[in-house]
Amino acid sequence: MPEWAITVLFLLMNGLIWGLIIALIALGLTLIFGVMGIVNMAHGDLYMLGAVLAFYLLPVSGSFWIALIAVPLITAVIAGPVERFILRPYEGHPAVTMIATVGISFILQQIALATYGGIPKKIADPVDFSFTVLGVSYPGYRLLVAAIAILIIVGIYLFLYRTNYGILIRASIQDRQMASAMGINVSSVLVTTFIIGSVLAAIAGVLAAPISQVFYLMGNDVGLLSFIVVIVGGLGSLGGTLIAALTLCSLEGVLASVLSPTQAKAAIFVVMIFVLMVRPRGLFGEREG
Amino acid sequence: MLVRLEEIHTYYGKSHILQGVSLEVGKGEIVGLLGRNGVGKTTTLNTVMGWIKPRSGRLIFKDTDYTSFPSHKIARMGIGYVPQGRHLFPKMTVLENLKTGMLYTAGDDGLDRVFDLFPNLKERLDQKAGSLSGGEQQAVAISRAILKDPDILLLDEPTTGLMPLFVNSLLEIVRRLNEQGMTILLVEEKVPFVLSLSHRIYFMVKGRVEYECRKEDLVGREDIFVKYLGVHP
Repeated sequence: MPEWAITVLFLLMNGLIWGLIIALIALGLTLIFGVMGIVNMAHGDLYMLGAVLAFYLLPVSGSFWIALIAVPLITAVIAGPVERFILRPYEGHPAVTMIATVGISFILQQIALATYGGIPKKIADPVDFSFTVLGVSYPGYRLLVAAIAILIIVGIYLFLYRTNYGILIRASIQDRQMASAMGINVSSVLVTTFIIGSVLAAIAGVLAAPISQVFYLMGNDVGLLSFIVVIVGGLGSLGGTLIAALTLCSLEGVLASVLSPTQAKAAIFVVMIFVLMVRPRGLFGEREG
Repeated sequence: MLVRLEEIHTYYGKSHILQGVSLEVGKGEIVGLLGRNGVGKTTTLNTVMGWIKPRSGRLIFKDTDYTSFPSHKIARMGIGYVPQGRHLFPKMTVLENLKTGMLYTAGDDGLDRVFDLFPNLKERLDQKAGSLSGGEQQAVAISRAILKDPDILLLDEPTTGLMPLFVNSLLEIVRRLNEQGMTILLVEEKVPFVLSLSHRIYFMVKGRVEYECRKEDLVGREDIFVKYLGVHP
């Protein structure tokens, strides 16, 4: 196989793995939007929070895997009150909740800057095995990340489509008022959904920490990319979000072999504009009414 | 009395919709609510269900004042609702829609009761609710509500958009439900449908109950229909 083909293959592989991480974040974003109608501008910062918490927990617990379990729990403890006391009072006012999440984003970033500092740091790979494909050594941790992300995505799917609580959430997405008339406590569904969405972003942060650098602004780019993924996939569409995440990230990965990283990012915007011109509601978005 | 509304005043913004509605529904009754368009019939049901909070007045269910209760609590208390337009969860399957009625009740035996009333639903369980015909959608909406095993069922314009054949079978189904002990508060434009089913009838005019009587009292009283509805029955 020619060298360029091998390079493209590995870039594609990296893109797909990165796509799975982005899918976790974007699924949380679209779930929160679908149930609550909230455009969460702080979502990328929850990803950053996950990575920073993992950085702090690693020396304390001594195990990356303990951090992977503890960080979602800590995030849940933070996300619950945020929804209940900051976002809930402005329910039904999308512009206000959006501005509130911008405020939450600033607060999270500044807390991280004040405690963690402004210098990017790296977490060591939690597993040190690698394998050789086509004569190139590839880190095993990345495949582990892909496996964990797939497991979580399948878990989320099964939770939403095969459990009674999933029915509660989907009913609340489709008709909140009727859901309440069926006895569903929509208020508790809102908190739970916000927690699930936030936890997904934080888990993505923990998984990405050994791959990318941990930095208090690391959520900005990722947050933006997640928004593009959700818009291209179709707001509120879980399947669309997954497909858009994998497609856009692998495309960005492959384009990075011929373009500069900045140009590759710009190309993703071009794809988004093109998709919106052809399908204004995204690839899998549905018409209203 | 199972449900009682005492001097209910409900507003949409500044619009004063219900202007002191008082009515009651006894256990085992079918009570009809008649009135011209826009007099507040649907708002009355929405208020009973807790979708709109009255600004004043009291809502009583089995001697409990539930005026301030959230609607999910009202639903769990024993009030079932089949609203106007059905409000199905269109992207969920028929079975999933039915399951929303079974979330807080024990056992799956309610499904047999539903299939007994609507045998066709058995073949539609995996179909998306939004793709069903009007009659089938109404069947799902009623089934979903009765699966909760409520003490009272609120039915808002159940015949809207239905073919005449299905209107007749719906009439029989509502009657059967009542015979099985279900109390029903019915809002319906089709006067003969209401007259066939109801034990008592309330006539609403401009957000108020203006007249109340037993069905028998309406025999030969065409003037009442003309006065309150502007139509001959």
